[in-house]
Amino acid sequence: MSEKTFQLSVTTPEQVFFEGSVRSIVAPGGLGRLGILVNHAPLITTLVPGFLVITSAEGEKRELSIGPGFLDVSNNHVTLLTETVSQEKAA
Amino acid sequence: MGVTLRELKGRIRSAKKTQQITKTMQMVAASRLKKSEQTFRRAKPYYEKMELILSHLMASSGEVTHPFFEVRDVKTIGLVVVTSDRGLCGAYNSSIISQAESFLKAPRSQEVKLILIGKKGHDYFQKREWPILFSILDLGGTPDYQRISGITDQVVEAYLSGVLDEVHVLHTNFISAMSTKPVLKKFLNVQQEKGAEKSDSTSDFILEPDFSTIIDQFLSRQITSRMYSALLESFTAENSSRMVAMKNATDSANEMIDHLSLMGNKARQAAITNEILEIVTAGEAMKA
Repeated sequence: MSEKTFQLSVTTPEQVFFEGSVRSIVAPGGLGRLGILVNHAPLITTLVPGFLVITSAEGEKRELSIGPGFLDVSNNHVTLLTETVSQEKAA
Repeated sequence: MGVTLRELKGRIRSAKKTQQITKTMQMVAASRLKKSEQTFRRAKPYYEKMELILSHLMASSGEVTHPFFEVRDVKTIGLVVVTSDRGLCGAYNSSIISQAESFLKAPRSQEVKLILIGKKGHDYFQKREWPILFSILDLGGTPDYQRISGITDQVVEAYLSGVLDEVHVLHTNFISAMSTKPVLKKFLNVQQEKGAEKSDSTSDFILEPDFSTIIDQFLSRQITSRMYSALLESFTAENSSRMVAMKNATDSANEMIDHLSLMGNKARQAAITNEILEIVTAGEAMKA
């Protein structure tokens, strides 16, 4: 179970919005939506405003709407920086 | 005894009133300090992660050419001075201003233009000889990311259009509630740290869409984040300075009240002694 998860943090200038281990995320990248699973290759990309879908370690799905920002993947640590995150809603 | 009892009583009353005000202000500053310190601490991860991504970016590319990294023949330096809008905060503003003055007075061939954030700095430098590029007077100690982003854009624009060749920021460092210190940081051009993160095993990043697009968007955000962090820290320091200043004022008001009450007691006793003396003397005179 724990082998299939990675660390995700969603951070805005005002606060750390989300931090924890997740199974997958789908983010609105600058070149189109991209999914990230465990052991993803190191990556840095821009993000455009859109929806971020997080699948938690328990398989639960959450959807956040985010503003423009950046995504950094390295060593199973995913750092998502964005200026705005709106309150989540059930996906 | 030069002062009458009545006068002393009046002075004690006014000292007590002043003390009440300073005490209230101290408490207000303390609660604001708590709030702004929290905001500052919460904002820190974003700033730190920005730095992390930047180091990843730098590690995965060779020579970078971007206006922000450009080393120019410096003719004009922009100095951003962060002060408070309101007074009664001890040495907070004066130490920043004296730092700014020593920067301005240092012998150099370049011209220095001021960007003033905060009313106190504006009031001071308005009457001085140095040119002011622009002032921000309505921030009011409430750091709002959108607003600060706007200010940063103005600064960056001045840099990109060649009005300024370098940008330095002078703000106050918040070390603890009791100790704050003015610091000068260079914001632009951005210094390149070369290969500091090479030890990272994963230095070959996939970059989407490509390096120049990312760095373009990234650097302007990074500058904003640095400015935001600097301002939050300054506001925190401002509140802590005000709290300490008001605590000192309350304490000295206390001391003054003690001193005045002592004098008042002495005056009252002297008056009573005098009266007794008069009565006794009168009695003696009647007996005789």
